[in-house]
Amino acid sequence: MSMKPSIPNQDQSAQDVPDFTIELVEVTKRFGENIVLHDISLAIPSNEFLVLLGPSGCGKSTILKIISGLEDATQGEVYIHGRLVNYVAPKERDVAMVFQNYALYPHMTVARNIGFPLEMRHVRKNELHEKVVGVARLLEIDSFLDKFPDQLSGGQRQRVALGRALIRDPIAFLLDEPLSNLDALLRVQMRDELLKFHRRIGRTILYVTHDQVEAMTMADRIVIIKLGVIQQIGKPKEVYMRPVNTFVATFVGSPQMNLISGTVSETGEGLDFAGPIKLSLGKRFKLPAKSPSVSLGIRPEDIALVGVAESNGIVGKVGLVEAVGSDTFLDVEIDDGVSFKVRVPATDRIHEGDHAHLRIMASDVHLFDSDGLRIAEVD
Amino acid sequence: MRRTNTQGARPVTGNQTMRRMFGARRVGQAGPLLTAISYAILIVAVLIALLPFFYIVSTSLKESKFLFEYPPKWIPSPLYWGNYFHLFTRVPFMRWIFNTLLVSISVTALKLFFDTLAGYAFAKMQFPGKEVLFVFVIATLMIPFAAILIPLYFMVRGMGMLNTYWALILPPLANPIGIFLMRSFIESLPNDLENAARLDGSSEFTIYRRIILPLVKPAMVVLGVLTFNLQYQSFLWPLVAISSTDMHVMTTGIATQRGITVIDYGVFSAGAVMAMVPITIFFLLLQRQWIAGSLAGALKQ
Repeated sequence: MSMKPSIPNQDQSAQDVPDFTIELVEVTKRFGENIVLHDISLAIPSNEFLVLLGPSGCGKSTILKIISGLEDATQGEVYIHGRLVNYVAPKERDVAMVFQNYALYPHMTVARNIGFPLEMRHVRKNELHEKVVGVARLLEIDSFLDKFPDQLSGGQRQRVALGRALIRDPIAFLLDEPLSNLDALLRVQMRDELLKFHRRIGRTILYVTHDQVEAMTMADRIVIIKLGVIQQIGKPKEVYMRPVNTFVATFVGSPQMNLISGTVSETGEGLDFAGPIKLSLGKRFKLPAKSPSVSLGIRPEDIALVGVAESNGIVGKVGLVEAVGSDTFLDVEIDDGVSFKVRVPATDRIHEGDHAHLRIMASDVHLFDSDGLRIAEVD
Repeated sequence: MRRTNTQGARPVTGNQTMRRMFGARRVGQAGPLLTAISYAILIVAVLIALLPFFYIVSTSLKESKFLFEYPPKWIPSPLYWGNYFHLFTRVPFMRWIFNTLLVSISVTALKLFFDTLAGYAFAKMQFPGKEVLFVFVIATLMIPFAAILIPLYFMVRGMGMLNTYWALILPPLANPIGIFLMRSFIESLPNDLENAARLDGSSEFTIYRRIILPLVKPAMVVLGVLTFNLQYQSFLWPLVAISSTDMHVMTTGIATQRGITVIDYGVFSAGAVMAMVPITIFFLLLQRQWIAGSLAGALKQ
C-alpha cells in the first residue's frame, strides 16, 4: 500500500481523515419503487475491519455489490482509494469479494480457481503457478490444489474462496456472510483464522453478517443497518454500551436487552420511572421534552438475583430456565405478560416456579424516548 | 433400518427380528425363479425390438424377385449384394451421406452455439423487453411446421437458396426449443458464479465461454443429440427444398429410388441399413456424455 490516495478536494467529509480505502457518499439504491439503501455515507480507513450488521434483507449485501460494481448506485458516489468509481467496471476496482456460497467454479480445480483472476489478467504461466502455490501455502490448502470444489469441506472451500480473493492483492476485501454456511464449531475456528488473516495481510476488510456475535468479536467498527438506513456506527463496545435506539439495543446482545415501556416523571431527586416496575433513575437522565412515555432497557446481565433485603422491590416468578453451560438464562415474569430475561451464573440453583427478587441498578439502565431514540445521559 | 448400537439395546433387537423375518437377502435381490421370469420377459422384448432391424438387413441382402416368396427366408442364401452395389454405383449415395452429415453437424454446432448464447442472455442478462421477447420466441413453438412449409419455401426461393446447403441448414436453426432448454438450465446456475468471474476480470463473453459453457455441458449433450437426430431423419423440408440429385440428403435420396410403377424394397432396405451406420457411430462416440446428460437433472447444484 505504497500509493497515497488523492482525496478529491470538493469532498468535504474526506478531509478530516486523510486515508480512506473506501468511501460512500450519500448512496441511495432503488429497485423500482423500492428503496433498498437510503443515504448511506460511510468512510472506511485503510486496514480497518468493518462489519456491516443487520437483519436479512436490510441492504447490507447490496452495499458490497455497489462497492464492487456488481450493482450501480441510484444516487451518490463511491470512492475507492480516493478515486470516484461509479462508472468504473468491477474488474478495475481493485476490490475482491468472497461470496456467501463461495461461488467457486465447480468445473475447475482448486489451483485453477485460485489462479483464475490472474489468468484473466494474462499473467504468465509459471508466475501464475508460483503465486497460486504461495497463496495456497499461506492458507494451508496447498495439498488440495488438484481437487475440485465438491471434494472439499466447507472450511476448505472457504479458504479457496479467500485464496482467489487474496491472489489479486486487492486493497480491500468484501466478505458477504462468509461463515454462515459453516457449522457452529468451524464458524468459531474460521472467525479466529479470519482475524489472523486480517492481521497478517493488513488490508481493509468489509464484512457483512447478520450474526451479532461475529460482529462483536471481529469488528474494529460495526455499522448497524435497518431497512437500508444506517442506525449506528461505532466500536463494538460502544454499540453495546450506548445503543442509539431501541433497534440497536435489541439487535446487539444475546439474549436481547429487556425493554419495558412506562412513563417518567420529575421528582426532587431526579427522574422516576413508572411502568410494570418502579425505579428511581436519579439524575442520570433529563426529562424528555416531547413526551414522558419512554422505554426502559436493561441487559439480562445487569439484573441481579438477590435476597429480599437487597432487592429494589421487584419480585417475579421464574418461568423458563435455560442452562447454556457457563450461564443460565431465566425468564422472570414480573407482571402480567411482562417478563425479564435475567442472566445468572450457572452455579445458581433456580427452578421453574421459584419466586425471585431482582435488583436493577439505575446506573445500568438505558432510556429511550417515545420515538425509540436514546435519551442522552447528563454528564 | 439404519440403527446403530449407540441407540441402546432394544432397537438392535428390533433390527435382528426384522432380519429374521425377511431373511438375509438384500433389497433388490430376487429369487432364482423371479430372475428367470424377468430375464425371459426382457429377452422377448429385445427380440421384438430387434426383429425389424433384422428384417431390414435380411431384405437388403435379397434380390427383389425373392422378396415376397413364401415361406419367407430369414437368412437369404446366397447373399445378394446387388442392392448395395446399386446404391454405391448408380446413385451418388456417398454424396448423400456426406450431405446429411454436413447438414446435421452444421445445424447441431450452430444451434448449440446460438442457443447457449441466447439462453445465457435470457437467463442472466437484463435488457428491456426481455420477457416479451422470450414469450415471442417460445410462441413460435405453437406453429406447426406444416403451416409454415409453403411460406418458408417461397422465402428460401426468394433468397435464391433452393438446392443449396443453406436451405437445409438455416431454417432448422430457428427452432426455439433449444433456447428454452438452455435458458432454464443456465437460470439454475447461481448468479454469484458470474459475479465472481466478473470481479475476477472476465468479460461477458469470457463468462459465457469459461464459466457457463462448461457447466451446461450436460444440457448441451442432450440438445446436441436431439438436434442431430432430428436433423438426420428430417425428410419433409429437404424434400421440398432440394430437387437436384447431388444435393439430396439420405432420406430424400433413398426416396427418389422409388419408381413410378415398382418400389424396389431391396434398395430401400440397403439404404436404411447404410443410414444406420453413421448414426450408430455417432451414438457410440457420445454414449458416455449422453448418459451423463440424461442424468443431469440428478446433479447436485
